[in-house]
Amino acid sequence: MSITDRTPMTARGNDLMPLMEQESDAVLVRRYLSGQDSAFEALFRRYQNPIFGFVSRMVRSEDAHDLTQDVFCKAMRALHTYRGEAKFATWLYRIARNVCLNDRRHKAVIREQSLDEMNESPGVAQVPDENADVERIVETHETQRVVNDILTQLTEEQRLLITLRDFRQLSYDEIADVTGISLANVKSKLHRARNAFKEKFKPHLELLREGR
Amino acid sequence: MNCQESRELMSGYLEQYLTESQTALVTEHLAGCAECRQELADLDETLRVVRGMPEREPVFDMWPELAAMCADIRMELRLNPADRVRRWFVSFILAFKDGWAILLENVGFRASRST
Ligand SMILES: [Zn+2]
Repeated sequence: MSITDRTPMTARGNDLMPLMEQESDAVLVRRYLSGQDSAFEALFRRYQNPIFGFVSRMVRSEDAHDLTQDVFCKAMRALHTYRGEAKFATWLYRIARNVCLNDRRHKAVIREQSLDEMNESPGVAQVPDENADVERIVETHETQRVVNDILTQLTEEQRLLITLRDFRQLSYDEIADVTGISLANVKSKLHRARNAFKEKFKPHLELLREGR
Repeated sequence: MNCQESRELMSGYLEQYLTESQTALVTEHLAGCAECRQELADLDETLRVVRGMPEREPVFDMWPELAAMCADIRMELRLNPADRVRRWFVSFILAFKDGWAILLENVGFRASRST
């Protein structure tokens, strides 16, 4: 099925959805587990963009839609085990992390993909953040290409940490929870990952500075 | 504090999670070390670029497809254990059958039959 065959983003199937949008994650989980199937759609609508944003940085962008769906399928199967100790978002990110790492272990292709493939896949929309005053810096296509390329050169763990912190803005505690790495190690490993990224990005940073 | 120590604390310095005494030591070192100031500026700017990357969002509504998968999962979860095993067994046999068909095709089963 090609992307254009699919239902547009505006299609929404459920009349109860506006009411459910107000409810907390915990309430929606309880509703779903007590038999109200539509509560799961509400959870999906709430988290599809953050999870997709995460997945699309971790795997080839052409796989991002399928794997995002996979994350929610796994979440549905495991929902009865969700005890509410962790935030639902963190719990979901943990599933997403496993799905992505397993996928990459099997396919092991991330390094082989061409830069353009990663950046310009028709399967992924780039939505500029209106509030970001740094947009000026990153408006060039070239910068996005370089950033994506460098991410593929990092280790899987480095890529994971940078994605969670610098793309998804999770707190350090949440990252420790998602990755199972201790808080102190998250801090030092993330810093090392950023340094590795920074060193590879340096030539491009010089170009950006010259261009100003 | 030397350069190496100060550089290890730079993420914490930028994100302000260092202790007061660590922050004071880094600040003091930076005041007298142009190279570390440059490193800090590089890291800061690099992180701004990363964080300023456009958000990636799905280009189509994933729900209709997912809803169908979810319906299957719910049905399966509501089966009793024996039915679940039976269902798993049937899907295994079907997958096996497909795999077998592909294998036969690849070893030229059809070709040898037509001659
Ligand atoms: Zn220094």
